[in-house]
Parts: sequence; structure tokens; C-alpha cells
Amino acid sequence: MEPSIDKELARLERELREPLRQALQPGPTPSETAALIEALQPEFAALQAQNAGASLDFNAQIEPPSLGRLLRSQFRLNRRSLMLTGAVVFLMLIALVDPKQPFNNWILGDRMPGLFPLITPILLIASMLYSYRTWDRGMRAVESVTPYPPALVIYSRMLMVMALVVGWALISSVVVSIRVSVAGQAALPFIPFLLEWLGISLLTGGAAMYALFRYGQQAGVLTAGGVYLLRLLLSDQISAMSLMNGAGQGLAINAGFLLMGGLLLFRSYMRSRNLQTSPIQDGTRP
Amino acid sequence: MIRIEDLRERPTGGFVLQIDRLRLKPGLTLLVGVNGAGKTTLLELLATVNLPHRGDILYQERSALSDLPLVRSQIGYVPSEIELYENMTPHKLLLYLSELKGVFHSERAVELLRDFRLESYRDTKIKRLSGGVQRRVALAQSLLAAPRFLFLDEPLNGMDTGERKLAIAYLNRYAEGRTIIAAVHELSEWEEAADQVLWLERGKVRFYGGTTSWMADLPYRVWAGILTREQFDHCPEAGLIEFRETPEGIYAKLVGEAPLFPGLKECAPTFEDAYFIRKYQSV
Repeated sequence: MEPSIDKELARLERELREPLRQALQPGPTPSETAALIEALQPEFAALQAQNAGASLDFNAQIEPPSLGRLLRSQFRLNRRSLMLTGAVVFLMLIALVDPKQPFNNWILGDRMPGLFPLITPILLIASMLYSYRTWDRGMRAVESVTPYPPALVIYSRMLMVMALVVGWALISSVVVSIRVSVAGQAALPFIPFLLEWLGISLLTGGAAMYALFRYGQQAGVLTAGGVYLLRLLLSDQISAMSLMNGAGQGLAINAGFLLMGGLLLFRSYMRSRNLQTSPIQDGTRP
Repeated sequence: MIRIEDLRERPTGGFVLQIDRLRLKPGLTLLVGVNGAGKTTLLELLATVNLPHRGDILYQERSALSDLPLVRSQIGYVPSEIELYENMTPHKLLLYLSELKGVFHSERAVELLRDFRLESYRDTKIKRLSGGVQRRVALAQSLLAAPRFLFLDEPLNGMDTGERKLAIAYLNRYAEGRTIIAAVHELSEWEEAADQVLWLERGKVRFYGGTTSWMADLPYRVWAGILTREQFDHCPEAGLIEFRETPEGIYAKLVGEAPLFPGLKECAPTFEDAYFIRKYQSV
């Protein structure tokens, strides 16, 4: 029995060899694999493009930052309080300045600068402090989550405050000048009068912003206060130098303050453009 | 898609937030957990209010650490506590925040005033508005730039039932193709709108998954019925889902493998019950 089964199996194997060989697919050659990959390449590219489409794009609703737009926005936000406060203080200033002796300071005495350079920087510091940022942590967080450097927003707010204060002071200066003329005194030396308060005001504001964007709000206020006090303390020396070397010396010092203030403001602007992150945990860093 | 990698953050007075790896899918995700579990810390990190000290968060593969303006351009955020500028009107506040975010057209603010039914309060000072209306304004501001990612910390706080339904319906529609993570305490009202649930416990992720998974494979069952005062006093606090006084006794809903007292009947767990069951398991 067994030999016959073996023979039968051998015969079956022989008969099936050819049909089985035809049924089995040969493995792909390297050239066939390469051709397949090449054929599928457009599909791979389409998949890659699909994934790239899912990447995060800058929000199309958002337009690039503009200092002008931010200034307008900040003005709209704060205009009523700032305009009212500024107007009241400067109306007081106009009323307090003696048109016969516009450079005199009857509050602190003749050895101190006039009322304008005394009051304008104080008003500036107070306004900056008031409008720096909300103290509410939640609102600060909402204001921070913007694509702009949040410091640029603060800069625009500070700049607007400065512009308003300086603007009011300019108007008041013109009014004082008219009052001096009406009082029958010799015409007010407008440029020295202007520079006396504008120089120290810009220097105070510029120093405040320079320190603010580097070391935080407290440092900003302290620096501004320090600059202001130093100017008061040096009043005597500045007056003495003006007396010894002529009025041009005082003018040059005040013009120097103005330039330094402008430079500090510019540096602060550049700094604010680069401050992208705004961790608010310490509550000081803009 | 948001990818969190090796995140470690120590909030003040809470547990260390520790997430090794997590992928947050698009849709509306409910962030749940007890107070101090790390929900606010996580939301502040996701919203880039704070940047992670260790680890990274990738928003569609872009990191806030390297692409902050880009990422922030697509983020909306509502903190749990916020005092809006009370002397402004809702319209003025939305315009101000629009410009702050770089959206210089007023149509979006007007559209949101309409969507959140704030038109009648448009020119009323915020300090004169109720808490619920103020919260609607807070929610509206987060949508000003139509962001792709929205992070909401207890967004319905102070809202009445109608306001809550309005807000949930809006967010449900808005979540289409976007990612919303909302920290909530009341889960049931979100059941229809939610796509995923993320449960944080002691700063770690205990569960993240779809709502179907959230309701599936619950390790305990829910039993409800009327109890006597004595029975009620013997109920374990951790297993008590809800209770109320009734003329017949105290109606109680409990978590357990079997009824604690005779007369309690098994009932189908709700979306919120699932949270209690899972919490009970962890206890």
C-alpha cells in the first residue's frame, strides 16, 4: 500500500508543479519597486501639502501693529479723564502765573524754577502712574494676549499721556505769553520759557519710560521722581551758571534735557517693539 | 491640535502641574477637577498668559516659546476672575480690545454684541450691568479676532440659566474645526456640546478622552432612593453625588458597587455622575 501511495503523491506533485508555478507571483524586482514609488510620488506630495495646510497661520483678521492706530485707540480710552485733569491743572497754572513775573515761583521761592517746570513733570508722573495699566490681574492677562508686543501698547499709552500733558502746557504757555503782553511787560522770552519746562518734562518722561521697559513700573516711577528732584536740587547751580555765563547757558542746559528726553523716548520705543513676552506673575514687567 | 510635552509648572499654593505628553484634539474639551488641581495654571499656560518654565506647548506644531506673536494671534482667553473697565460701555470695551488685538474694523464687535444679545446694553456703563451680562461681555471679547484656540476659565460664572444656554450653544457652534478648552464645575449642562473631557487631579491628567469613553467602563454604579435621616448619616461623603430633603425623607444619589441600603435603585449615570464615579474610584 505504501509504495503505491508514494508513487501517487509523486505523480500528483509532478502534475501540479507547473500550475502552481504559474499561480505563484514572483517577488518585485528593484526596478519595479522604484517605478512604484515614482508612481506614488504625487500622492505623497498631496499628503504632505495637506499636512502643511494644517499648520498654524497668523490670524488673517489681525493687521500689523501701527503706533498711530494704537495712539488713537489709547486716546479714545483715556481721553475724558486725561483731558479733564489736564485742563483743570493748566487752568490753575495760568491763573497762578504772575504775568508781571512769569519766571518767578512764589510757591517755593525765587531760587526754584518757575511754576511750569515745577508742576508739569509732577502732572506727567501722576498721569503715567494712573494710566499705566489696570491693576486687575484678569484684565491685564486679557490685554497681554495679543500678537503685538504688549509693551508697545503700554508705550503708546505713555506717549499719549506725554503728548496730552505737553500739549496742555504748550497751550498754557501761549496764554501766559499773551497775558504778559497784555500786562504791559516786556514781551515774554517764549523759547527760554518753553524750554525751561519742556526740557525737564521730556527728560522726566523719557527717563520714566526708559526705566519702565527695562526694570518695571516701580523703577520707572522712582527714576522719574529722582530726575525731577535732582533738577529741583540743581536749580540754584543752573541759575548761577546762567548768571555767570549768560542766559544762553541755561537755555543750552534745558535744550540738553530736551534732547536727552527725546533720545530716551526713542530708545524706549525701540525696546518696546522688541518686548514680546509678558509674564505677569510679578506684576511689574510690562 | 495642541501638543503638550514634558510640562512642569508650580503654581502658588497648588499641586505641581505635571503633564508628560498630551494631545488635545479639536472640538470642545471640558477641563474638570477640584479647586487647586491645576486647571487655571494649565489654562494660563495654554493661553500664553504665562510661559512654561519647563516643557513646551505646541499649537499645530508651533511653539509659543519661539513663535509667540503667531500663536497669540490665534488665542482667545477668558480668565475666571476679571474686572472689566467699569466706566466703559460693552461696545467701547470691545472696540478698544479689538484694536489692542489688531482687529481694526468694528463689524466683529457689533456682530458679537448681537450674538451674545448685548445690543440693549451696548451703551450702558459696565458697572451698571449684572454679573451675568458682564460675563457675556468677557466671553465676547475672547472671540474678537475669531481665534482658532479658545481657553475659558469658568466661562459661565454668574450667568443665569438662559445666559448659560446661549453661551453653550454659541460655543458648541464655534468649536467646529477649532479647539476650545473650558474649565467647568457643572458638567451636565455641557453634555450635548462637549467633545472631550480632560480631568486633572493634583496637577496630573487622570483622564482624557471623548465623551463616549468618559461614560464607558465606569467602575461603579449609581444608586438612588429615599433614605431615613439615620441611613443618610451613615452615607460615606465621598460616595454621595447629590441629596435633597423631600416630604418622604432624604433623596440621595450614591456611588457604589451595590446598594448601600435596601430600597435604593440603580439609575443610569449622567455625564456629571461619571465624574463623581471616577473621583470615588480615585479616593
